[in-house]
Amino acid sequence: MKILIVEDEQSLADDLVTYLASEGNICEPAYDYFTAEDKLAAFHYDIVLLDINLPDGNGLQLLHQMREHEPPPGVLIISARDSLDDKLKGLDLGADDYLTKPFHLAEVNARVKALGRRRLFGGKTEIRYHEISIDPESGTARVNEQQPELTRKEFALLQYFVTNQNRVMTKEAIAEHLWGDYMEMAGNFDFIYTHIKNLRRKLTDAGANDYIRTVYGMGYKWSDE
Amino acid sequence: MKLLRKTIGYQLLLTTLFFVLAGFALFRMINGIENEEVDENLTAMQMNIELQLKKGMTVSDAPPLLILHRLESPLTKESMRIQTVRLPDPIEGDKESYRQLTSRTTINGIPYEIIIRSLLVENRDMVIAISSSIGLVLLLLLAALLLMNYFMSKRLWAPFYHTLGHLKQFRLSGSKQPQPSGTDILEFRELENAITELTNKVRSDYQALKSFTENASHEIQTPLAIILSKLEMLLQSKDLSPEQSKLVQSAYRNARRLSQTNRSMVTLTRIENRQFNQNQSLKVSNILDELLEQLEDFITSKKLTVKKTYAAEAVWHIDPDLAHILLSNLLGNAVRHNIEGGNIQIQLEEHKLQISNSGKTPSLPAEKMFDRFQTGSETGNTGLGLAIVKEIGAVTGMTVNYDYTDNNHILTVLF
Repeated sequence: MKILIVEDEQSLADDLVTYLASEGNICEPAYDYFTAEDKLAAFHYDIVLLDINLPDGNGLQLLHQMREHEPPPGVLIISARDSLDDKLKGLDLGADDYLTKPFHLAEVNARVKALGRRRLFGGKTEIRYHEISIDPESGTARVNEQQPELTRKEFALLQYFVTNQNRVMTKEAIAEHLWGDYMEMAGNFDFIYTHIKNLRRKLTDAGANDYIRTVYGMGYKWSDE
Repeated sequence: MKLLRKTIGYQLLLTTLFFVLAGFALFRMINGIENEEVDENLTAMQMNIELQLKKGMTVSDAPPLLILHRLESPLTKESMRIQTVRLPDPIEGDKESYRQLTSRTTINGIPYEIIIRSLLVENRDMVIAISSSIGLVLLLLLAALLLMNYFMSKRLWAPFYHTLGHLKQFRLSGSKQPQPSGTDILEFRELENAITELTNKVRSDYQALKSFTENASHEIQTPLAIILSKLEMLLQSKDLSPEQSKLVQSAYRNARRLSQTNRSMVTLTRIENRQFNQNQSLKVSNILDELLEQLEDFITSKKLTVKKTYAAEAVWHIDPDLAHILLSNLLGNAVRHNIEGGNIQIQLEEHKLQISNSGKTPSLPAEKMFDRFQTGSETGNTGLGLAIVKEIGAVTGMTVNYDYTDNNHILTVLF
């Protein structure tokens, strides 16, 4: 997918470029409103990551311009302002999703991929990982021809792992993806272990290899190495 | 003591003093005038009598007012003396004051002693008369003063009470400006102006402070996002030693904590600024149920038993986000500060919500529970959760109380 990253913090923009590019995307950064406007006029992008607060303009203005494209790109707003107003305004103006800084790169990646699937294939794509295939639309997973009974959380966990394969996923990133802001109420991350244990058991019972690696102290990693 | 009573007290003291002095002066003056008049009369009479004696006419005695003696021995020198004497009254028997003129003179070769007297007004009677009339005037004056002060103070002090009322109602976070009372009294107008100026200054300082907090929080958010993403990138490198990994891990955790604290501060500021104002009527039980569902994983992992009793349907007229923040903080605390295998009890009544949970003895005194950045011995908290709860209570008019009894933390919300 072709992704434009509109973010005035160069350092952050570059991290996003690196992370998303390593997933096989073509990424371009735009560090200000002017450049973003220019690039949007000249090229077509599948997805735009949009920061609202730009030094030379309001990112929401760019949404108008993007809507003139056919088909319009998927827009994920990333903003430091966690104001409901901005969120509603952004979604109203045609943005698809909204993420507040600070965010986990894995979370951005998951959202971008979900957005890409919805945009390009109407959500009807299976995600395959060796013997495991995941259907995001129906929320089911198959191992070869077997279908393990996964809870909603376990399914989300599996999809998040596969989306961010070969990367160390911190417990925090996993917890935030699954429980959102409620995660802060848990106090600790012990409960994640239960969910991971269950997912691991259900997948191996259905005949899959165990791809979940524990990274000591930090979190987990989905890998076939 | 009211200013009015104090003023009247001083006025009373001073007026009384003046009236006593005036009475004394009056007495002296009247006394002097009377003596002078009487003396003139006495002298005139004496001259009259002497004239009659000279003409050889007989002058008959009229004691005690007129006594005429013929002296035995001739006078060596003539004399005349006027004095005040007290003599017994032949009729009434008590003593009376007289002005007495005693004259020794020789008329037609015969030495005479002429004593002429005139009755004087009794000093005692005069004192009584003067003091009673002055007393009456004083009394009337005081009554008039009191009455005047009472009505005047109501009228004159009205702008003062107006200003005082505004001061009492003053809220730092409010926007109500004191209305000028339109008084033409310079002092009160100056007071009013000074207060208006002061409140404006205080408010603008407060606003500046608030917007500083808000801006600072926003400014912190972006660098934090960068730090976190850098740390996440660092974590991905394959050649991290366990030592290095530990360092990154610690930096990552703490950056996250800072970010959480920052977000809570932004929330707190926004509540204080009353930016949550999309009020709706919400059923409390619905929000509670929804939250319990969201928290289910945490409740199960701690093996907690939840018992909820909805005795009545409580409805809040509140911003949905605020209700959500309030209840999720309370329920979140009940889960987080619980013990393994503990319990949570939720009791909802028409005007009261009580959430109690089993837990260790708090390391904080109950009155400090709602203070900012009070985290007790536990780490990893922002220490802002209950401060946010308290602030929501303050802006929505609910009362939140904390108590610890029988190993239970009890939070009560009255609405």
